[in-house]
Amino acid sequence: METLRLVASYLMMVILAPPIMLGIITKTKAAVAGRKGPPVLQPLYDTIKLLGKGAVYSKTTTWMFRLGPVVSLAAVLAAASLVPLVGAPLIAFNGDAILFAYLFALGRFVTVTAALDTGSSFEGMGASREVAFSSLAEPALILSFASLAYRSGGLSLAQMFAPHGGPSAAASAILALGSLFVVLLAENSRIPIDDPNTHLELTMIHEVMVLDHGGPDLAFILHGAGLKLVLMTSLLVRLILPEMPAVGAVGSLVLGLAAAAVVIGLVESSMARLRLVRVPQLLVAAICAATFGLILTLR
Amino acid sequence: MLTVSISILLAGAAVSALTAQQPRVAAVVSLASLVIGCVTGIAAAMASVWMQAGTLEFVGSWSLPSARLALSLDGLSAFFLLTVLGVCLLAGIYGEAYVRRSDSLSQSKSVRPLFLLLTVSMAAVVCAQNAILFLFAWELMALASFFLVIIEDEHAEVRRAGFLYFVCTHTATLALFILFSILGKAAGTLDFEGIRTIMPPGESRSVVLLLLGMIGFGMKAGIAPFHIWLQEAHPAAPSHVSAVMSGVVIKVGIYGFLRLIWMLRSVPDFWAIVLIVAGVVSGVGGVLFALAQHDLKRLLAYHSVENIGIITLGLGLGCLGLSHHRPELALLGFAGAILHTLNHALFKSLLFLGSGAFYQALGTREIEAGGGLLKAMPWTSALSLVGAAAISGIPPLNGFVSEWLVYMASTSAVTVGEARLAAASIGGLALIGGLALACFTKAYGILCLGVPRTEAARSAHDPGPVMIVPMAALAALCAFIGLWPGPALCLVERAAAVVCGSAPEAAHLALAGFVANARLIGLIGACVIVIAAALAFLRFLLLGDRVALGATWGCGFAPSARTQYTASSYAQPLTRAFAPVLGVHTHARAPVGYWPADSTFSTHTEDRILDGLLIPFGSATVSLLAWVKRRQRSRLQYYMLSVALFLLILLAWKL
Repeated sequence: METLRLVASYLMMVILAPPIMLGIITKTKAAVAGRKGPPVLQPLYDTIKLLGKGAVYSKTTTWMFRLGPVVSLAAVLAAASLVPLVGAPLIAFNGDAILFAYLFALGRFVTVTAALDTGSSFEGMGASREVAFSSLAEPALILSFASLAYRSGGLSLAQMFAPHGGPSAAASAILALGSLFVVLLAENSRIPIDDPNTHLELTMIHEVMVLDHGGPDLAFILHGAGLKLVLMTSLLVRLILPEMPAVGAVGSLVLGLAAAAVVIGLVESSMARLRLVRVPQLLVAAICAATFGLILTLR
Repeated sequence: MLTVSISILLAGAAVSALTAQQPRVAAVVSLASLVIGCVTGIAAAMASVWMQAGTLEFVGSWSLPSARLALSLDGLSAFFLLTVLGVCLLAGIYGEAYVRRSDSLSQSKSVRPLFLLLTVSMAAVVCAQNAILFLFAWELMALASFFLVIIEDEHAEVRRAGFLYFVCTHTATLALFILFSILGKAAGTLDFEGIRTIMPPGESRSVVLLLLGMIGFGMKAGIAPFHIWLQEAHPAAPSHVSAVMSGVVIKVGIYGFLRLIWMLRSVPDFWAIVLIVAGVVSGVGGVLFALAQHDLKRLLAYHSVENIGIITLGLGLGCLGLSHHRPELALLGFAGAILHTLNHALFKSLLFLGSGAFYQALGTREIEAGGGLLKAMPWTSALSLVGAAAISGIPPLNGFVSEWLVYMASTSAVTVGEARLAAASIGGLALIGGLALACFTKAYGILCLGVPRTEAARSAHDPGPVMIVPMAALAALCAFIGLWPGPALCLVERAAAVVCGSAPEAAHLALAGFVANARLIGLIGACVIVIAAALAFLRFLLLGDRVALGATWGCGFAPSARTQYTASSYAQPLTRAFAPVLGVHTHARAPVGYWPADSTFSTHTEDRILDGLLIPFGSATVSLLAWVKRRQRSRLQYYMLSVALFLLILLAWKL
């Protein structure tokens, strides 16, 4: 019974949290710009509408193109089972943090190959940028995981991101946090690395890779991207935010996610996207911060 | 049983060489002896694993001093024998069809006997228990592979690659001669078991031993900076030979390293440091240079350097455990290295076999001559996809399991207080993983996806089932180890226990937690497949028949093969970011004027060590000596003067 409830609440989080979080980001950006903005649940309505639509496939494409959306969503769903979304994760073992990072790599592999399958130069461009930036984001992610793992004594997400009594003063934790925040922005194609709302194919990264997907495929991709954002944000939230006894583990995570969505919205409203040649510099800075963090932990 | 296998392979080589005039007979003989010999050998290795004891198979006397014909199968030898024979069997079956399809190769009389000779020599190397026998088999292996590399010697670049390989492999053999004479002198015997038991644990010579091991085994394995022959020799050889060379010949170098560590029993700290640094340099350097290549087999060869880097990283972490007396870390590091050896043998030979089929279809190894091959050659492309995903180290395939073990060893290294090494290896592994994904999406995407770029790519078709089935078997093994790593890890455990000198039960106990977690990883990988299938079914239900076909969206323009993204441009963000390391040469003719004529753009990347360091150094030496030679023609007095000067220097040195 207990397991059943855990799985049920997990499913609720996995299905509902991504669209709501994306909705809060959009709402925040609208509020800063002085607009009313679409309702918070708009991404959910979009997903439902897309699921009901048909699909147009390019004649150039093969089964590779159809594999992309389903495998990338499946990989993110599997990664979700490792993240303590409802107080505890579904599965936890020593070394699951590496699996978490590499499941995202699986998603990236199929998304990129699906993009290249269309034979479009725009999608090739997006794919090229995606792999370039993520291959620099990966060391930052794993090095910050390593420094957190050393503090907690095991390379398991549930241990590493256990709630603390308050913001840890340790310099290494702050460095890991900063590095993880940059990785979060890069992996989820947010400003300043990528602009999810741009309408110029030449400047996009993630969105341009999925130009040719439509209908249920696009719904899977959008939900997977949102879920990836929720997963990485909830790790950060668990690191910073103390668990509030009044609302419980789930409640404090949900509140934290909402607050993080507002922060991301504010970041996106207050700055422009970086020039593409500057992005590697930001990511290398994140790698350096993570390395310093690891070395400080080990001293 | 092992001797039976070796004799069958040797006899097959001899008979197929004698009957080379009748290709049909030679083909039947070589194929039959390959299959029977390999299967017997695999059975022998399995039996020795089952019985858990190192069995001394065959001891014969040999007229050479201190040489014995001693072959034995302990856990380590059995593991490498399985890898060697398994890959050789599949590549040999593929090779038979490959040779027949190729005009130049089917004329060759030597390719079949040489392939058998290469197989049997590798089997003998990994089972030899005596240094002389080891060196004999090692040399046989080097020569057989050399002649296989230069089999298409009508091309100048093949001869060049062959010569380079010849020089490198003999430098390695020379180093091994010195290495074994030092060991033999210290122990008084050239039997490996004797060296292990008698050898005093003095560490005074270890710098020399490590240096000789790095040159001897490292050059064969392709550890940077000794990798210089790989990217030349692998493209030159026929594809099934490249598969064996990249899959197992270079792994024999890794075996040598492990056997050396086994003989020495304990290694000093700096071995670990050197190996970890060499591993990170090979790994990151290998994948970066692979990223800049457009020749498929050259790209794959650089990827071997990368994977050897990961294996060396595991070796270094294992040595760290040995030197700090942490058996768990030692076992974990060696287990990661050994499993990655097997995994790389599987997916790299799969990719090389695939590259052979692509080469025969396209007539070139340039990936930009391909495009859309997933439609034209569905089987080869689909199987190569498994290899490409496995080598990128993504779950649910086998590459991830071994990389995960090396990651776990790296985080354990933190606990012995080697913070910088741990940071280097964790960061290095993560960077290698990301870059390998970039590299293989590039190679696979440009070659197999999108629109065909040439007429050859449009009219390409799959090879026959004899070439497809071995690739399918390798792909199935990759998926099996990824989804169910238990059996492979059981073999790996035994081999790692031998290297560390601990009992198999103790090793099993020490690694039990990691093995259980690896099983869990396989289970999660299976879940990903199930969820993806469920989602695909859901999509099928949702879509019904509302599926239309159209053209790719090109922002108002119709995309064509000429506007497709190319390999150079795909890799450009990364090659630009790492430009100081790579030194990419760009050849561009920009369009000028109002009515520009045709413009071109191409890039190529040379090897930093070979083309950037060794060849300039060599030609500088040659021109210096030529200068000296010109001077020589002068008068007798100069000779007298130089003799006097030399004597003076000698005198000064003596004083």
